[in-house]
Amino acid sequence: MKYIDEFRDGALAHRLATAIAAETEPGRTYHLMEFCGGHTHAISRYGITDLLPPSVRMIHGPGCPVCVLPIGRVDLAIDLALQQRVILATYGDCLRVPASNGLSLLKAKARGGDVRMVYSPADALTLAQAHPEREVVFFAIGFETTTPPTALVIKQAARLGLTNFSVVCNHVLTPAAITNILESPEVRQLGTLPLDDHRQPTLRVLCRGVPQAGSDRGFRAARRDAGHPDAGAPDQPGPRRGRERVHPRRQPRGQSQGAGPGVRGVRAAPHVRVAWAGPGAIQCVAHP
Amino acid sequence: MCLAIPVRVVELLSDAAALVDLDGIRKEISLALVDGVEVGDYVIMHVGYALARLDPDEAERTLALFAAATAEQSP
Repeated sequence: MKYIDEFRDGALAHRLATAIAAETEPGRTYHLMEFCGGHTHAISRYGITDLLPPSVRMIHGPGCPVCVLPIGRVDLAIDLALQQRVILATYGDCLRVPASNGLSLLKAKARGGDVRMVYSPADALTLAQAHPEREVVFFAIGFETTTPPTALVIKQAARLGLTNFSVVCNHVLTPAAITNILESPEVRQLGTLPLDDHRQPTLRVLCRGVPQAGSDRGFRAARRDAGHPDAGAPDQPGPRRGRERVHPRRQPRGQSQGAGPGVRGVRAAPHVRVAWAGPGAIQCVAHP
Repeated sequence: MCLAIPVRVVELLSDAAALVDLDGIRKEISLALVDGVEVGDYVIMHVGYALARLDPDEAERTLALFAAATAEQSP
């Protein structure tokens, strides 16, 4: 496959590994964090860790959308399936996540909850169309990249006039998380790594590498506020119990913030504090 | 859910949908998030949606970088 096979060339990979090893300074160790679960998957699948010299260590972070999901969100999904008796649709990744009382969505399904694994938010929408007599809740999750498809099905549901389709939004933006990590004392001790012979602060270097991230202005705001998590920002309200219809309360405006492909009328919520299961509360600031 | 994979567009369908091929597996996906996709293009597919077209220029630049980085070892 053109432009696919060229990137799976083992001989080239070995030459690159040799080139990387030649670049490392003796006596120095390098810690590189890949950001995306897709990267982590590729690193494991293709044995890249073993190709790198011992002084270069990959750190898998900051956590995938599923593993940073607070337990209360999974409890909510289980409650929707078992008590509210909705059709609860979500990605397969969420099904085994441990919840309170030894439960998971998979165990809730075994107890009679109508939990459906979907590949795409469009599949959840199809479920709602196929079961007009049932409430269908899509338990949406993912970083910036996964958010636009969720936004699209919300708009599509409104256009179709569906009244039995709702979304529990667990989408989170990543720049605030990476800023939190970069500003931690442990990472500050590691120092910076020059790229392209320009010695720049680590933050700048890494921000450029964050896929689909917001503008520098957004980063600066996130960085500034990361040090003052309580500075005038209200807590994000928890997910609403029960159900909320998909029809927007106000006229949509603007483009999505920080997302990859934008969806008109969808914006990141400004000034929210989001709980991540690993690092804890993270201040997210979307520029207006 | 985190995986995004390159697939080839084999047929354009109505409602901004397309039939794509991945090593013989065919699936209908949405093109609602990308503009100007044509049959034969490669797109990055994620949760049933094309997120971006595979950019041949970008791919060539990356391959050129690989070549430059490994030039000294080439026979």
